[in-house]
Amino acid sequence: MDQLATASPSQHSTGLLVQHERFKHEHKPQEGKDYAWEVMDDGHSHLDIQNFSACFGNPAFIPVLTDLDYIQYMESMCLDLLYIITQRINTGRLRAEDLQRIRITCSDPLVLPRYFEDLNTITRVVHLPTQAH
Amino acid sequence: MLSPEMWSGWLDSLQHRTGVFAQHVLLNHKSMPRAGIDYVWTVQGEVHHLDIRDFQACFGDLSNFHAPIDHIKYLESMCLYILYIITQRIKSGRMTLVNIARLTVGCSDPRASDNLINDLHRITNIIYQPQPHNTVDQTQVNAMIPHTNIAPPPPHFTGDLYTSASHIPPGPDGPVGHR
Repeated sequence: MDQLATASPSQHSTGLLVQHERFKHEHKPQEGKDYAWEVMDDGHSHLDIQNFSACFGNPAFIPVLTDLDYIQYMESMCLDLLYIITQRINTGRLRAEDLQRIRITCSDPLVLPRYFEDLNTITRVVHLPTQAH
Repeated sequence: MLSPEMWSGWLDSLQHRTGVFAQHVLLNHKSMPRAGIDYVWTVQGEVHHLDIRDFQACFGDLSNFHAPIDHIKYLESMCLYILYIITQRIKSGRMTLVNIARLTVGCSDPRASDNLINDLHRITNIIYQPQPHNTVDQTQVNAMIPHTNIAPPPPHFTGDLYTSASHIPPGPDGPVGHR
């Protein structure tokens, strides 16, 4: 196990998404073509997904038969989305604090909204701390 | 020491067998969150509720934020951990995709970071707004996704799901890794 960790400097320097793409031979989504950023008048950043398949992979070509396959597709969506945001941060055009006012849309009609709903449902963690803790 | 080729081949194999999260855990020496301790599932009728009881045990150490990119990497980690927890539940046969539509996720740990929770929700809240001038209809959307007669789609899906088999064996909905 120690060898695994030390043998993978790229894991620590590039993050999971790059690995994810490398191993699945997927193409990286292209800014200005597959997705577009816009800074609105009030300063908040708006990301529009213009080509769903290019950004998240085409469900028609991704093996999704079982519930687990679907969950793995959700995992892939999360990583691809974070990859896009990471690129924006790496270029200095987005700060972590800007995430508090970020807005993300999808203008590609070739998509099932259910993907977005499930992704959002899974990651909607409601913080309700109890007194017992 | 593995050669780059061997390393790449080994990871490729691992990737296909275990998914991204397991790699994440292995490579970063992270601990798997434990069902019943770090998180708890409850079911009321059709509604499944996941409660995160120990934020750091489930999502990782909060003390290593040095750069903006660390924030994003933590969100990445949160996504993967949540999906790992849900995957364990599905593998154990106690939840299906149908239940995801009515899934609720709470966090009862008062030490949790509201900023991270809110940011995670925000970046995964993709609002579907197709361009009004586009004439693509649902028939074309469905045409993207091949029909299959192998497994019925979950009732809450408006389209059909998809192709190919997963050979991932069912796993326990409990402690898995090293801690």
